[in-house]
Amino acid sequence: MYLCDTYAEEKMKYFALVDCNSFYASCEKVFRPDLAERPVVVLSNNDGCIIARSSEAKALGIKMGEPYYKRNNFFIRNGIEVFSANFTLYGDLSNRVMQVLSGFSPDIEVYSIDEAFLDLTGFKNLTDYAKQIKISVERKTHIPVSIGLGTTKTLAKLANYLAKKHKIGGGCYFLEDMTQAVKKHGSILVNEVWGIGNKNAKKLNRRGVYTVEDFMKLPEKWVYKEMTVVGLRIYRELHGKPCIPLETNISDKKAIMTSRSFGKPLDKLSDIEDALCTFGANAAEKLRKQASCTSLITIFLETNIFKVYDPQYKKSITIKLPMPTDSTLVINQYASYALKKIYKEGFFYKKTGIILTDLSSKNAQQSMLFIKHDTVKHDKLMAVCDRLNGKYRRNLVKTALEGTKKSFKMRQESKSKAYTTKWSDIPVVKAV
Amino acid sequence: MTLIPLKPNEFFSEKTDCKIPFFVTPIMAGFPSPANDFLEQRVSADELLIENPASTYFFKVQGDSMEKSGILHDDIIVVDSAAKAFNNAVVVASVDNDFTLKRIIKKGGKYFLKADSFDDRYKTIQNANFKVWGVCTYVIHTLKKK
Repeated sequence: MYLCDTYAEEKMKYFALVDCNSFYASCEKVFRPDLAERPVVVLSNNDGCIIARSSEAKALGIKMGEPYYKRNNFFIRNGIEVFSANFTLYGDLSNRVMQVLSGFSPDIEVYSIDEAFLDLTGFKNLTDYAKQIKISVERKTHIPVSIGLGTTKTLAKLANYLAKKHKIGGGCYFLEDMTQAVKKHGSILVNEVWGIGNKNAKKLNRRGVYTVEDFMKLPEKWVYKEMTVVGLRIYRELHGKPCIPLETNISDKKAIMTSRSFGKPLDKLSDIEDALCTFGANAAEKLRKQASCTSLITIFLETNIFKVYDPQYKKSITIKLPMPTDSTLVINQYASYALKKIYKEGFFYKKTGIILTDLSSKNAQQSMLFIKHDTVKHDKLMAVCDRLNGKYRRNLVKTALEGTKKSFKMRQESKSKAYTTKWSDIPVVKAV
Repeated sequence: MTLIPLKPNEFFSEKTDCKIPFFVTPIMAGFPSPANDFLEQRVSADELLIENPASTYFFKVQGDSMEKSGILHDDIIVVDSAAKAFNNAVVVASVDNDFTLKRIIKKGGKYFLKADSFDDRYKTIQNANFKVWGVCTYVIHTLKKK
């Protein structure tokens, strides 16, 4: 029985972890040459807290996750440029980075919006190759990246962390020898290792293990017993034995959820219904993208739990559909019906959402003779809607239930333009 | 959390549970086109203008300092950051915190950014003060009535 899936191959494997430096902030600088060396921060949805800081902003002591409203004078005084999150832009720039990276290795795992693992087994002169990758990405996408190299994914990720923290190798670092690395750059805390979260870190600390070097000296049996096979994989990977394969296929989601907090608290049913149906349309679109149908819809509604002096109300409801569907019209019909069952007058609500579960493949649907709606007609209608919304603008074509007022819209005071996705927003070049 | 079954008996009968094939797509009747075997994809502007999708961007031109090159105010240019700049290439460069459109010239081992207009009022920029952002590969000019 295998405790972990070590590779049976004798050939040495090599991995690179490429990640973008201060990704969202860097995206905001791409089309703004005037912000090249200036401090930039990006705020979360609803302009709540800071979710990205450029290196200059970090140097000014701004912390990740800091709420913005508390210190906005500080931002003005220090000339810090503030942006509301522009995910449309970030998504497109991320796709470009990944496209460029995929030209450097046949095996790439897109790990997050700004990170990817590359399998570089068989490539020669890895550090030089990594430098080439870095130069290529920066030139083509204008996004700076850091690259960590190692014989396992865990080591590559750790190498990337060291490259960033100690600014070694000009942003590219090959972690070949842990002892050498520690000697040169100092001890590495065990919390910095990919996969070791706070809970496990505390457990290790209680046993007197604070650094990676100490962790690597522990007996394997102890690691397996206290941290399960997941911990054992990390342990073996740190020792240079690859156990975690590259995940190149994106698996279909088993549940789809769309929910948002409202820009301002809402108490009217019609406003909340507007929001819920917009989220329903969004969730249905995601559903159709992976060719699935849903049979179970959950709706939830809640007040602001942080406003402790306001009356609180939190309720959810689940509806089982008579037959699986991927139609926005059907989903929103039931969502509306469900909302009316849980909505209560006299409360100021902060958030609502819809969750679609019990997903099945669209291709495996059997027709029913007694359905109330015409599936073929809905399919055609949904296909047209998806095409129009994708080509022209998000939410261009909506169902009546989604409303037109949009009183629940997010606060996005300073969002940058959609430089690469809207003709009206393309950057301007001066011929003067 | 409340679970509501929506009157399943309305749709199912416990007695009849057999599956009958249901043809959803209509079957075309009539004469097939003689061109069917020879159909090809139409030419696409994207294919022509965008050689490297990951590094291609569109810019709007403001000003007329590049008129002599056939690039006019309000034109849209296709810029490729992957393309290699060559002597006299039209490039988008970042100069003085702004994007500028110029031709890049190599003279005596040094690089200069020059305008391309019919008069001489635009200045030339020297090496140290600029960075090439991308090479302009195509210009799109509207001839429609305004």
